[in-house]
Amino acid sequence: MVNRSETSAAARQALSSLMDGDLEPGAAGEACAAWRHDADARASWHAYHLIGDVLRSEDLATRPASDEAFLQSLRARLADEPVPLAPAPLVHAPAAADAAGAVALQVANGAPLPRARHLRWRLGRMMAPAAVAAGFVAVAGVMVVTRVMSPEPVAGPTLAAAPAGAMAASGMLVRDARLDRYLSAHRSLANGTAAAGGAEHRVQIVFEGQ
Amino acid sequence: MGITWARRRLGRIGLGVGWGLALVCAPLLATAQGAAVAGTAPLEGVAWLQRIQQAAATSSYQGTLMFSANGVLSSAKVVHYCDGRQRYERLEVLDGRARLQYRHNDQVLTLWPATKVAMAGQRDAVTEFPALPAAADTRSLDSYDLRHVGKERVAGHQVDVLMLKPRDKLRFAQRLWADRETGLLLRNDVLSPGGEVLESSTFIDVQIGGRPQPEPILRAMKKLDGYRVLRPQAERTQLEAEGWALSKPVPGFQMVSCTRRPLDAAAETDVPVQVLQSVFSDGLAQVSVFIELYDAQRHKQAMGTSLGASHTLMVRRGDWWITVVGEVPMATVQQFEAMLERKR
Repeated sequence: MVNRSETSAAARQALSSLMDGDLEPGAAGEACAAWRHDADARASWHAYHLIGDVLRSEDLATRPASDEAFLQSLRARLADEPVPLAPAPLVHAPAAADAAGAVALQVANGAPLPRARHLRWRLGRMMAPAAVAAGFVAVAGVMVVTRVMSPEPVAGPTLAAAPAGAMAASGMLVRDARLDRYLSAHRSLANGTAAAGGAEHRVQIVFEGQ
Repeated sequence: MGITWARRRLGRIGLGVGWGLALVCAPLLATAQGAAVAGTAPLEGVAWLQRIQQAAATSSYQGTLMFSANGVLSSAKVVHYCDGRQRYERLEVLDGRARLQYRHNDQVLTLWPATKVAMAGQRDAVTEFPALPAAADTRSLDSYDLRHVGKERVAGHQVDVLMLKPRDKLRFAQRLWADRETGLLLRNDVLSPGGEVLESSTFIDVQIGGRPQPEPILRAMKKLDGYRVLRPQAERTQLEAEGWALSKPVPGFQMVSCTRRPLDAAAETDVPVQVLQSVFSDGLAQVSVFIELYDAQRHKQAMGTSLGASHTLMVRRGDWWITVVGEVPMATVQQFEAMLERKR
């Protein structure tokens, strides 16, 4: 008995630390596992949050049951959500065909498949090449269209381009009339085609850093 | 697993294209070089560029131009006459705000019919499609490697395809399509290092030659009833005279123009913003460096943007606002900004 209350005290302490974000990664894994398997731990978790909420505002003092209901409905909705272009189909073609065949068999047998999975496989079969193509279009589009450089401090002559991730992350789509003017001034004097002038007021794809 | 698969597929495609190109190009190269100059020796890189420049300076042509960058298309109808020494041009922009442009030699008149605004001035552009910059034949081959890569058909014409690969990472590759008969440039693409088309200028249809009929153009240039005529003054100057310099030149680029001018003379605003615009060219690609007084109202945060092949950097430098625009990689634009120095 003594042993059990000791462990639960330690577990509760771990939960409390997890809530505060103070737990080390390894211990956090253990605490989460405990949360998953131990109903008491879940009850404590809710209680701690309720305490915190009440301390912050009385409006937040709802019954844990409503959290539970929210979580359940969120899970249900997530399970029902189709996954249009999952990476799963991108395996070797024969393997994909086999898997698809297996899925077809299950369906033929009338075995109920989770809807999302089922859809994923079907889309996978039909759209694997398209998905590859679409992927490339998207990547090209992102690189060319949404490439935005955060105005990094310029250090010297040997500057490399900013990493692609940073560019995309700070991207924001704006239309900037001031920039249009510089672009069209540059185009008309320095590097032009007369036809480009038509787009000078349609340059909508301009990106602004922070 | 998925990635491996995709990479393997890509590899296969790349290989296929490579072989295909090699097979197609080998005989093309052999015949094209022989036929292009009708029996004489194969054209050198310089000669190709001179041919294109010559054609732009002496041809008459009419057709439809199209420009595309980032999937945004715009087009213009063009009539261009050349009768020996005189050049006439009428250009009608077909997308966006209606705009007409007339040229007689160096005189340019731009009309915005909707707002009844006209702008008259001297033509001082460094280059405009289908022309190449003046220094293209003498300087660009220092920075680019030119290869004849084949024969194709563009806008109904047989063309020679030229590939200009940059010798360093400071500029983009360009692909030129030149009419086989006359040498007129019919299409020009700017390519990313990965080979994607960043922007493209092309004739979608064109008639080359024909008898010049300049009268309608000259008449239209005199008929300005009801128009408010602006005559913005561009004043030639030197970067050093304005108190600026590049502490170190950006390799391959030379200054080809430096003017003090209103940024947008045709704007409906009260007083146009005056800027110092220096244009640098490597013989093929241009970079503009704009310098103006910092104004908290107009100049917000520093910004780097990309649009087709055009990269732009805007930053504040003390009392000044610097804007660098060019059809070059962002690193090159940044290098211009970094090299720019206030001398006093």
